[in-house]
Amino acid sequence: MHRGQQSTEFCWTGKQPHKAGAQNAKGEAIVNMMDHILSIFPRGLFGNNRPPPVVKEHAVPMEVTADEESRRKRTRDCETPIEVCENSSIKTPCLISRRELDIAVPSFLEEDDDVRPVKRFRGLNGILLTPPKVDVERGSVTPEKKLSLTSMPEDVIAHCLSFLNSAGDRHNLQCTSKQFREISNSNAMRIGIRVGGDPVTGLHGIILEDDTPDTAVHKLLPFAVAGNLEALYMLGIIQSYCQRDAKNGISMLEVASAQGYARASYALGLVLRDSRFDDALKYMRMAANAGYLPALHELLPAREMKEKFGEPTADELRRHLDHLCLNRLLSRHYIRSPDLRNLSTSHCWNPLCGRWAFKATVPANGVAAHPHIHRHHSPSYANQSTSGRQTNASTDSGVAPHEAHTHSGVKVSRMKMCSRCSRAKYCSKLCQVYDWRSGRHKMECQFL
Amino acid sequence: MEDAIVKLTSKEGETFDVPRKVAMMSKLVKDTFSDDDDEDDEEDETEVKEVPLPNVTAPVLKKVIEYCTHYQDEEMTPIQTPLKSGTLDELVQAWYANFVKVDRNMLFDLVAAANFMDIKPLLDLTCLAVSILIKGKSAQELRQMFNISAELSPEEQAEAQRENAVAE
Repeated sequence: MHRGQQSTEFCWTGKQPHKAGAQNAKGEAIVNMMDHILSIFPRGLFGNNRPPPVVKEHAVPMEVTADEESRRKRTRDCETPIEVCENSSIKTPCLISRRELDIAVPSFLEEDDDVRPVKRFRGLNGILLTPPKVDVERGSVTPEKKLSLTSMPEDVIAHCLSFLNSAGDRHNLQCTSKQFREISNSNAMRIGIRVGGDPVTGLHGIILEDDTPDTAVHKLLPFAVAGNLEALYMLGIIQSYCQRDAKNGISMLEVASAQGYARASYALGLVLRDSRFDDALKYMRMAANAGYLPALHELLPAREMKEKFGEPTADELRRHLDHLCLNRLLSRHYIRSPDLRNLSTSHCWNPLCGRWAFKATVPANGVAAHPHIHRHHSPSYANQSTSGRQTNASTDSGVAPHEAHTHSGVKVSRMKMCSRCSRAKYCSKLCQVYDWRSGRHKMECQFL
Repeated sequence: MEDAIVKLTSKEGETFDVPRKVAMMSKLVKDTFSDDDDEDDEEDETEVKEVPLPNVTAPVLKKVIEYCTHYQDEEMTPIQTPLKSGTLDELVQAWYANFVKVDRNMLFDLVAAANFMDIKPLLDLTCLAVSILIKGKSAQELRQMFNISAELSPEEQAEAQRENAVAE
């Protein structure tokens, strides 16, 4: 896979051209903004669908390179979900038509004293809201098609569309018509969209190749505010790794985890492994209890895993990795941040993974004096002695990324090393097993 | 009471005799009856009642009744979201999957009828079928499918393109 080669090469040769600076300047604005974003989520509750206006104000300074025009557009876009969500927060179990149902009351009923059906109609009419503009033109163009989906009440269409959950379909809906656009901007629709792309193929994520962490955050924000856990999780990861603000990122992951998103619990289990070991273990167990396979990988000895789940192939494991577009974003960020690489960081050797960690041997900034390093903690939950060769992970002692920059004391986890070659480093067992089963490291290992 | 018959009248005036239990799947019919119960007492339970459905054509009504009748024998499993699969057959039982394999106009009529008669499972099923029609279609195809004349201005179009672009 060409991406794999690219990624590893970048990480280890470190010869890629890169743009320095600008990060710190942006950092301030972003930290500010994220503080406000977090204040939206009151103790893990998403019932509150109303983003405070503050999001809008602080979203703007993030656009460092954007010109005035696109700023205005984006700001306007932030407002849209607010309006929509207020309308759509009224969820009725039965779909009440917002459009005129065009009920032709039969003439025999109008004179009739029979109250039953008339009563029903009266009730219906009482509910009817003001009908939106009726498309006269459309009817006249194709009179033979008397009924099309768009002539139906909006909430029926919304119900139809609510079954769609891929970002690609959303894109097409957005480009189709104004009405579809409004509907697909509703929170009800946003909540179910797979922003990270298709879980099997990894395609169609909303983060593009030319997105920076900042623009990615901007894109994900409306989804996260609507209550989309996948978006919140991705925000949390971007925040922890790219925005020099691991603390906020971790709070986001905690919110997602509290909502029962196993992937977030698992990520927390990895990320907090060095700084808050007990919490990490708690989160990891939480994910494992939810039956999340990678968490079981971390907790159970390799032999037991094999007995219980057999040996999943690389393809089966792949869908547990982070979303492809998210991992690529992390990789790109790593490549383009010279300061990160100069501080002796290790990038996960799994070509599909974008995470990294600092090495403990980092000489600068007095790591040895850092109070948060707990070298006595075993980084692996599983019993090391029972691990097989390929899953036997020993410590490549490391500390969090951004150690030199954050003062939060919350760190992202260190790496594990392949015990056979003592070169390859992985952020998790999942990545290690994946890299081995996919055949890449198996081949590579013997030459290292 | 179990044998009570309800007459459902379509738009054209065609009448269908439907067992009360089957007809009760429609909340519209149910509400009509519960309104009655307040007024006249239970003495005329066996009386044949008639419900006019001026929004539903005969072929559609026939199909709806077919659905409701089958539902009594084999209840449809509720559709789970998020969808696990992209094909109808894997989401609902075979009978229901076949039930919505009809042409597009019929399907839209069914959606409208289900909405009007307020039959939740049928509405779910037909909406699911519609969403599967939509799935994977380009904006151009969607416009053709739903008879939408291009409503977006070029700028809006470009904006939508830019903001919602996905990695291919």
